[in-house]
Amino acid sequence: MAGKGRTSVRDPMRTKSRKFKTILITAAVLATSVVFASVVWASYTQTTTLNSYFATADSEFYFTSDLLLPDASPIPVYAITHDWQADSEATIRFDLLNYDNSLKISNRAIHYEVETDPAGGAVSGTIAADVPEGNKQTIELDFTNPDPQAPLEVTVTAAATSPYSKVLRGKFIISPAMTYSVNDNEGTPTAILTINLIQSETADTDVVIAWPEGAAPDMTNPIVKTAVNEDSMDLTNRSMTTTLHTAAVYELIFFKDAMDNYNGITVTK
Amino acid sequence: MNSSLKYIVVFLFVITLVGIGFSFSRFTTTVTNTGAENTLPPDIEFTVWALDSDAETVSLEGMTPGDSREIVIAVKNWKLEEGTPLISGYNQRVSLELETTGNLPLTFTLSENPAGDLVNMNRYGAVLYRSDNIEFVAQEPSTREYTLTVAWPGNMNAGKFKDEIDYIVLRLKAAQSQ
Repeated sequence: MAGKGRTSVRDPMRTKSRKFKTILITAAVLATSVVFASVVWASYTQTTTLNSYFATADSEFYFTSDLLLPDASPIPVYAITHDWQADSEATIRFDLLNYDNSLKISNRAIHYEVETDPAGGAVSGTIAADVPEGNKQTIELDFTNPDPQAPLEVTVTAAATSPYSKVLRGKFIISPAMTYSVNDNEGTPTAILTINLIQSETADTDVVIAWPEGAAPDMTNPIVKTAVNEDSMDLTNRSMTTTLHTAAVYELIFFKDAMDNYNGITVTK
Repeated sequence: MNSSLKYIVVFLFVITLVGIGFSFSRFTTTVTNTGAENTLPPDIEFTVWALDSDAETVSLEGMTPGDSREIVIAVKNWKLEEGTPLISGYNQRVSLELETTGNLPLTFTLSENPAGDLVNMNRYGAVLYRSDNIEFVAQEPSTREYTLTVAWPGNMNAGKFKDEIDYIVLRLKAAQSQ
């Protein structure tokens, strides 16, 4: 009984010690494997800094105009007049500059493109950077007006395309230097000619008024009196040359021979 | 000894051994170039190879859209030491790494001279580029020359760029290969 009792009872301390030894050996084997594996993976690496750079953009870029403004600004509007009768083409003229002021001058050539709305007169070119005090190019754009009696509104866009992009804009309203009209006079004994002269660089301008058969001008009208005084009234050929002030509106009555609509009066400068 | 304390000791022992193993696993060094001739590499056998480039002489200042600048970089796995060629005893993989702030819309292309074959410059995120690996064989002296072209595309010409500054760092990364 005593022997049976000795074999069935385990010493708890001894069992724990065996367990610990087993864990210790396992851990040592594992760690050794890991260490060797790490050594197998070992390799050299090297990082060499070749250089560092400050890459800077060339900031000496100025693209301006005497009339156009950058698209970020309100678009400038210019009112000009043109005598479409004297010249069928009106010219818009402005400068494109490669500088902002005497200290801010572009150091590279600027390529630009100019477009207009309505289309017409598109140009492109280059402002060279070879003038130390700044360079400019004068742009001239020609337009015809399909309706010489009406103002022509032209929007001009000048865009630098190289080295940097920048857009300048301007609006030009080309008003005819002179307009005239005859009222609808059917059923009335008179026809009224209205002449509108836009402000221009001269205070006075000479105009020639011609009318067809069937009516006669009011001889008491100052326009006619001026023509008579200047000895430029030709009743035979129904025309007169008279001097009118610019920036003014004139009316001249024609007495008709009949009640039907009377037209065909012309006014030329 | 308390049994739980024993376990802790064993755990720390294992961790320490593993840590030692990994600490031996890589040798890393950073060398800053100070001239056309590279500084002497660290005194370890791996870095026998040397660098030679004109990276110092090229300026990236005053660029405009449409401009491009070229930087010639030579990489070799040997050098002359007191008249005797000293060749790297390791196979190496070398790549050109470029880091930029991305303030300017610059593009980077790498080509091998003289054939002009393009080497991929792989982009990682917005600011990091790394070339394909250039291989060097142990004990075989080799010199490879490349041209890095830094270009500003002409169509990226918005006026907002004209006052920008970019900072670019060029590195060569070499690793021992099997």
